[in-house]
Parts: sequence; C-alpha cells; structure tokens
Amino acid sequence: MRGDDDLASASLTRLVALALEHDEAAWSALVDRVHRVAWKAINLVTGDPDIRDDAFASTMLRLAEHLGAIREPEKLPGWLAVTASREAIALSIADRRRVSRTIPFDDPVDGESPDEAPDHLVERRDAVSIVRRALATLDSTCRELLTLLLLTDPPLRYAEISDHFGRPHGWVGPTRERCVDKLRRNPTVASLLEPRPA
Amino acid sequence: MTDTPADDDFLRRLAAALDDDLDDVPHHLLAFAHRAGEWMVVDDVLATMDTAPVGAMRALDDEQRSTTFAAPPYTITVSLRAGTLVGELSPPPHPGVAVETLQAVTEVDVDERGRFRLPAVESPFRLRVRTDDVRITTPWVIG
Repeated sequence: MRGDDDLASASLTRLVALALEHDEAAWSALVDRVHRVAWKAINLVTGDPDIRDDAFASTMLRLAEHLGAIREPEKLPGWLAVTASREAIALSIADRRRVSRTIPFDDPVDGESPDEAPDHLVERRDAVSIVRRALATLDSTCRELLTLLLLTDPPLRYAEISDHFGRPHGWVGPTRERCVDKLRRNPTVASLLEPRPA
Repeated sequence: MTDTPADDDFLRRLAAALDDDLDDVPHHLLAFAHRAGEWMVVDDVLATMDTAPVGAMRALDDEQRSTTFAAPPYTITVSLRAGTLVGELSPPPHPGVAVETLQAVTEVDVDERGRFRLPAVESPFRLRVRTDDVRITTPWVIG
C-alpha cells in the first residue's frame, strides 16, 4: 500500500504520471511540491492582490490543462515559473485594457511591461517588491530569464536556457551576464543584499 | 562554458531573500489548486487561439470580445457580450458543444449552420467539442 511518504518523496516524473491517471493524492502532492514557484513568479510581476489571486488560480488551471503535454516533468518548475509570470502579465495588461484575454503557455507577451501595482497596494517594501520593481525596468527577455534563474533550484543550466528560449547555446552566456548585471547594478537590489546592521 | 561564480552567488542570495520575505499562498488559493485537478485534460485535443496579441480575446467594441479556436479541421469562433456567449462551429457536420465553467458543464444546441448561444456564462469558461473521432477542449478563457 502506498503511503503519503511515498508521494512526498516521489519524483516529479512519477507524480505527473500518477496525476495523469487521475490519482487525486498524486495531484495534490504535485501541487504541494510546485505551487510556491508559481506564487513567487506572480509576486515578481504584480503586487495587486486581485490580479495575483486570479493569476495563481488560472496558472493552476493551465497546469491541469497542459499536464498531459509536458514532455519533461523534471523541468516543471521552470515551465510553471514562466507560465505563472505570463499569466500575471496578461492579467495586468487586461486589467489596464479592461478586456478579456487568456494566455496559452507558449505565448510570450513581448512588447508589454508588467503592471506595477500602485504604491498603496504594495504592502511593504520587502525583497519581493524591490525585485519586482527592478525586473519591471528590464526588457522581457531579461525579465523571463531572471525569473527562471531565481525560481528554479538548482538554477537552469545553459543547455536548458538555450532550449527554453530557442536560441543557440552561444547566446546564453552573454545574455545571462547582461541581465544579471543589470539587476545587480540596481541600487535598491544591491542594498537588499548588503549586510544589515546588528 | 560555465556560469560565473559571482553571478551564481548573487542569484542564490537574492533567491533566498525572496523566499524569506514571501508569504505563503493563501489557504483558499491552495485549496483551489488542489481542486484544479478535476479539470485535467488528458486525452482531448487542446485547441489553439488565433487572436492577437496571441491568446487574447479581441475587443470588438467597448462591450464585445471575440476569439477563434482552432483544432483542425474544426474552428470555433465565439464572441462574448454582457455574459452571453455566441459561437459558430465549422465545418459541418456539427457535433455537440459544451460550455464548461468552474461550476457546471452546459450542453448547448448547435443549429444547422453551426451556430450556438448561451446566456449568463461565468468566467472562466472553456468549450468542449465531441466529434465522432476526437474530443476538443479549448484553453480556459478568463472574461
């Protein structure tokens, strides 16, 4: 008989396979394993609580919708980070335009900047809001690449980044370096990592 | 080529700061996530959308929005105005269409020209089409 411990230690590949057989416990275990990646990605896009909640719910629906099409379940966290980020961006844009929209998993939202929440919606000036504001100043490639790098553990390797963006291997190094450097040179982000006075 | 150690250290420290500061997912959202498995699609063909920007419902005017789903050979064009969904399915013969929300699945009648209509459609919704040889599901549309 399978116990909860078996699911808690199961690989993502195993959890996805079981969930696709409509194993409810496996689906719950899968959600428990990966949901925080989506939550973090969304919070790096918006501080608006309504958009944040809607983006999380729609990301979970897309996960269920696309689970059968996921070819490499071990890469699910990276895929979920990008999906959640795009859902939040799309909902932020839709909120601005007051139109209905839905964003399939593979569709970038190039040319659009994520909505930055009004100051009164930013609950406190914490690491999440600081990084969110810093990412919002960057181009969409850097935003997506840095989101992936920050939310995947271990961070994606060059080959995986190359696959994700559909770019040659040689594109990865300079782009990664450029994007990380932009974020690091943001003075507020830099101050976030300075040692705090005792 | 290897990652730059200084970059790796910066990303690692920043990721840790994010993790420390971010609150947990609210309970009601996590409960929804656990329930979302009920809407899993395993064997259906997932339709694509052709609106621009890709994936968006197109605003026809201040109140009406539209999009077209494709799952060859079928296309389904839908518009939404004040919660009423009007659609057209092609080509014939026209199989049944169901409109699914998080609360219910409603079978709708399709006329001889492939048209269908359903009032009071709640968001999010998706369409499910069953033909003789394939089942088609559209992405969730958040209206």
